[in-house]
Amino acid sequence: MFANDRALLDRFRRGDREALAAVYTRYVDEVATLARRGFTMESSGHVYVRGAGRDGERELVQETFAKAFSEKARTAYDGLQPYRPYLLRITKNLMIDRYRLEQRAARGVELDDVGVGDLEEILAGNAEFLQREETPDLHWTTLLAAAKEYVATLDAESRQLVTLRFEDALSQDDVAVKMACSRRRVRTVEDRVQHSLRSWLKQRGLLD
Amino acid sequence: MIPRLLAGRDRLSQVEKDDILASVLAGVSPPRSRVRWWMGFVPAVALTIAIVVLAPWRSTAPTSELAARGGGQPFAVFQPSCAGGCERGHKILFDLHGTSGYRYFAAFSKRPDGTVLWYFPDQGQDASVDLVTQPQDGVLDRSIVLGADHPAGVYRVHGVFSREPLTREMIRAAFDETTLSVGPGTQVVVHELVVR
Repeated sequence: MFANDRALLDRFRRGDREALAAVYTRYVDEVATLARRGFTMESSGHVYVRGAGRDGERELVQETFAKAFSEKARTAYDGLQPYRPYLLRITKNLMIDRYRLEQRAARGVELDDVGVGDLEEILAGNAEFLQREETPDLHWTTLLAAAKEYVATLDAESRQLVTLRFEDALSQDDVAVKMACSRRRVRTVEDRVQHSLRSWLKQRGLLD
Repeated sequence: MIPRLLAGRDRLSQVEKDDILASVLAGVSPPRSRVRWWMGFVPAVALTIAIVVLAPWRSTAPTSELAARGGGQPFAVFQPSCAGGCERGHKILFDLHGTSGYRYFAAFSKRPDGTVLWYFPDQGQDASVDLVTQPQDGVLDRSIVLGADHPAGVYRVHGVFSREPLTREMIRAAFDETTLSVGPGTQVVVHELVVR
């Protein structure tokens, strides 16, 4: 990402928010994939570091970027080595730290200095676990059906917001343009929809 | 989970991504700004402010540590913490020592699943805490007990500082996660709190 864009690297190292946001947007999905799916470490005797759950995935992504975007890490990054494996190594090491905490028996796990390398290769080597992830989660399926039922009850504006903001994953600014309203309005409707869905699920005993 | 259900995919949703980015950027030291032409006037302006603030004809009535303290730059400081660790049954304390220029304080946190837990104001119709009535040491005289509504995880605790009292509804309507503000004369400070 930085190889052909010296200006971006300079802005990134200065902590320019737009530059940080660009880097985040470029890599967040890959970091989340690694956090969600986990990986194996052949160097430690085929140890499988399991992926995090929903909350854990979010925490790992946040921790990864918080570390990567700290002033120390930004200024230390030389712009020469590829940023992707550098970033994924942070995620990987955070997961190993957690693994060590969870599995006292795994004291032998070594933190290697080698980057994660090709993520696709790692994921391909974990087909067994990936397959397991695809197994339908009954609770999730039930919640999803209830959520769809809830969305069907919404007014046109709220339904459009669900489509654009959640299904199409647009930013609040882009949604505001498409809906021809202010960003504040988008935020208000977004909060209301989420809050109402939570209440809907609670009323049906599907959520604590 | 709620944003994922609305997206129909059990993957990190755009809403979650936006929240994470806002949190990360909030913790990043601000970029060094370039020297501007008007910065040459800063010493003179600072001197003027100092004269006004420290002028002998101003009231000498004692003020609370937490209350607005004159015409300087408002400063919002707060640190949530738990005596004896943040575990079920323990209390979250709010240390606002060092705050100046703001009179009212509200607080809420976001659970890892995105649920918002209101701390202050206590009730929907109440207004934020008047810091003038609070102890001099800067620690709020009220705390939050970690109960069943606080499962283990990383919470983002938001402290909302303002010059005017605010209700939950006012904060909810005006809260901007990007600028960490709920409008003019306010500031929102976010800290992470790990509940075990």
